[in-house]
Amino acid sequence: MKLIITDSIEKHELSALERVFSLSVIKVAAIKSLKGPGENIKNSISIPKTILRKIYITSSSGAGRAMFLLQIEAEKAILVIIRQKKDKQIGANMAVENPKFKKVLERNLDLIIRDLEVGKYKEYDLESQIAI
Amino acid sequence: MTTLTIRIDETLKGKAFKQAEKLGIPLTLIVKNALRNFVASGKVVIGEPETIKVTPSIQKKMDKIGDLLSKK
Repeated sequence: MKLIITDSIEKHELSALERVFSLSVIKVAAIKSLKGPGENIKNSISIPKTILRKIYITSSSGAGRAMFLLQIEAEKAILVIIRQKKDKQIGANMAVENPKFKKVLERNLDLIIRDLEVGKYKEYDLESQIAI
Repeated sequence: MTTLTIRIDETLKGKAFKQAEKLGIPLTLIVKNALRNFVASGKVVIGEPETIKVTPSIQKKMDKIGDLLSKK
């Protein structure tokens, strides 16, 4: 299992929240997303190669939501969005029905594609975190 | 002693109250215990993940990312 954070996501999403959500917390959230309930996948007629999963995080520094894009076969999770719950425009309503969220989601997916194409990303091994 | 006031979802409060009532314990005890556990363990709570429904155009971008990852 791997967690991938591209340079643009680190800059646009993570840099402002470094003091709220540590990398360790994000790694645990990624593991839980990868291991999370598989019902939606199993029940699908065609199994998607990638899915988006949202996960709630509560730390002593604040509450938030993280969204990961999961590559099922390779067991890889890419951080797409991470926001504090108090971010009313996006963090409090992470659904495609929210136009502001949808805009950020599409922008971040484009940034991730660009970063992956030029190798601007960091990969973290999650196997060592599983004991947590 | 001091007082802690928190804003929570009304449904959650109702469900928690009923659950505590079944066990015959006050809700205050549940909250105090949760806080004690947090202080003792320093652990962070991470909820259950939820899969998000996306539009076909977003799925297309996601699959492109999936393809790029397969090559890495």
